[in-house]
Amino acid sequence: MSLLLVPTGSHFFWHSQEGERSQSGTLSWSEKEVKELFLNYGQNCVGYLLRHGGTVVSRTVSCLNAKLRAKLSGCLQFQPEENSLTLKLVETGQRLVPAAKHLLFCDTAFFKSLPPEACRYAVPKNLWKKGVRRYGSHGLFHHWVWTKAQAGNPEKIKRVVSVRLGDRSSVAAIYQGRCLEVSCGFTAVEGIPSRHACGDLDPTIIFQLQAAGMTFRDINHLFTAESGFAALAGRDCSFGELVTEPSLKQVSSVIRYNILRYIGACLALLNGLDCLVFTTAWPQAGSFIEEIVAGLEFLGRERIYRLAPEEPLDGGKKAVWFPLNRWQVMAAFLPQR
Amino acid sequence: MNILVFNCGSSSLGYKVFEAEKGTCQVLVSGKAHRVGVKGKEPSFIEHRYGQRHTRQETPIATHRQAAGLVFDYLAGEKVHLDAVGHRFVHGGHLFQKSALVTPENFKKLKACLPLAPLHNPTSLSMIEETGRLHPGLGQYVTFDSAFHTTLPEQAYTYAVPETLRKKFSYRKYGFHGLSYTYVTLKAAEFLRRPLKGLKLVACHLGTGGSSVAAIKDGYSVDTSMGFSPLQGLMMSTRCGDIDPMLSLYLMSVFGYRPDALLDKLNRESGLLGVSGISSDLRDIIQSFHGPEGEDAKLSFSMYVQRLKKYVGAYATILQGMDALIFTDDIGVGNHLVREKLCQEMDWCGLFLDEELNRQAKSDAIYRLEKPGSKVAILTIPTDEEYVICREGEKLLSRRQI
Repeated sequence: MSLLLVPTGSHFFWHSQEGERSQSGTLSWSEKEVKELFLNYGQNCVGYLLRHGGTVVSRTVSCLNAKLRAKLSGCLQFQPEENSLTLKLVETGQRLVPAAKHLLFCDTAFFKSLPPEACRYAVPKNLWKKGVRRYGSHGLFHHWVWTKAQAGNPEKIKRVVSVRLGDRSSVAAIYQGRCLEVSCGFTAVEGIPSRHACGDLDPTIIFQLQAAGMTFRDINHLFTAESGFAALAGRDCSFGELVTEPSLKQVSSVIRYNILRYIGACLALLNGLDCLVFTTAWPQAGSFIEEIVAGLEFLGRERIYRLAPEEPLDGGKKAVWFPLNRWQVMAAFLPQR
Repeated sequence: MNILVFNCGSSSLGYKVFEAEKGTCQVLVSGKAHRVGVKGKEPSFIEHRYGQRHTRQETPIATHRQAAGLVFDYLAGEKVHLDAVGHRFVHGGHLFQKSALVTPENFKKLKACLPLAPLHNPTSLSMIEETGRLHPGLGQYVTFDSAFHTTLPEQAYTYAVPETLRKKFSYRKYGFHGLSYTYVTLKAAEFLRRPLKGLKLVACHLGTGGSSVAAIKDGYSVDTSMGFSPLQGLMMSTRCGDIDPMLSLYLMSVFGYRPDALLDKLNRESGLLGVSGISSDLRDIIQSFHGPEGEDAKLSFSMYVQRLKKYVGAYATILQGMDALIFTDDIGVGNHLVREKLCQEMDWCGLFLDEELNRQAKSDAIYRLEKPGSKVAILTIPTDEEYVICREGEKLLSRRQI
């Protein structure tokens, strides 16, 4: 029996698997419930997702030994809220189920191989030594997409643009397995606006807000908890609502536009593409995806794409392939989480 | 009608007197004050060109106001009649969407724009004050570098921060270099013999100070890389361009950087200078490729090109293909290596550069650099912001006279 723990904001998502049987849920921190979770499901193996490995964790999957655990607090400064939740879960898990196998999954490790042009910011070089670089995000996801996209035809599929759609979206350019560019930067805030975070912003703004009397804590909260879809729509809304609610059409077009811009940047770095992959947990995102693809018709897409028979991916998940004349679009609709 | 146009640089003041008549603008006198407010071994000087005559005068020039006084003295001495004076304002914020005459009411609004571009706007305002003081009867008008981008669609200019803040601080993408984009757009259409309607352009204004890219459709700006301030977008000589919004917060809260010191670092010690550690001048960096600092030089150059390439790709995509890629300003027309690297492996959008033509292109005229069969025209166009300022003034003033 295995247990997977994924921090998301101040909550965490859990998933347990035993043979064919699986269960999942969302919890906020509570000593009693967390204890039950570990004791019920975590006796054999526990996996923890670390959102931001900073300069400390550079492998996608590692065994949590004492040495690694001792270093983990070094990640706290990067994405404090979610990383501290992961750390708290690790500490509790190792105390409650010491005999289980503990694995750490790091969501930034895939981007360790980013070329220097992509991972460096154009700030004075002495700041690079202070941990300033592009770390990326959703590395597990983009890595998985690459594997699946080229699996059928490794000879032909070398340039992949992976678009992850959801409450937090990101776009990555992958060439023969190496990530060349990703929209998330030093943190997952950079890039496409997410459900609560602002995405790309003029660097001057933060200083103006600070001068106007906001504390660092206020600004952090503003950019990570009050911005994004919530700020554009004037209320909290999920990606699912965004792509279906007629009243949110303008908000969804801002997000779609941002995604298209990043896809364009990836196209320039890859000199085109062999496969464009959309992955989302929201089955209602179909028309949102189609509109993005329509914006790329100038690349030489046949006017009408035929739906290929659904091809099963891991665990019975289905992908829909759109075969095109020069390049392919694949949309994988995954079950929620 | 004779129009004097002032164009302030950070340490220079360029000027031109145009003879403007029904849409044509001919340069009558031109000149430039150099090393304004610069303390150094070399002296400040001002030069003038009037017909075939060239004069050069070494004299201390401490401020732009003083430089303006020297220009007016020279023109009075040569008995050059003036009908109006045009100024360039970098940032008109949401208060100015197009060029405007300097009236007492507009002057107040201009004052309100000062904090938007603290390095540039106050200098321009001081020129307006000085002109008014020396020649109170002379008509004055202002043009805005941000005005060209007021046509940006909502999806391109919106920052995803709460509406209360967007309203309070007027946060949106404004964009700059608008006078230059106006000029190259008109010139490109003229050169390609194409109507603006239906023309899709990606223009790169690559200067020795600031740089930006714009996507232009039907003659209107639809997106641009600079944002609320000129700090966003491309990697520039000393400005950092795009960074994670959380990065500054991290440096201030974890490492205790003072906000004003950090903002200064991002504006004046970053970009090409910060990465190379050699120079803010791309030419120095290219010359260092094979020297002891070669690694740093090469990295800063390839970062510069890669960021530009991302924007060109993004804009070609939102325009759904482009008809022409334009390079302008000092680096744009003067540096063939940037163009060569940028255009490598761009066949995905039908762009093929002729490397030989590219190497031979000079910076004195419009050059066409693509290979036969390239779907995208590649042009270098030396920009002329003063010309645009003059034309704007001619339009404004003739309307007033009617």
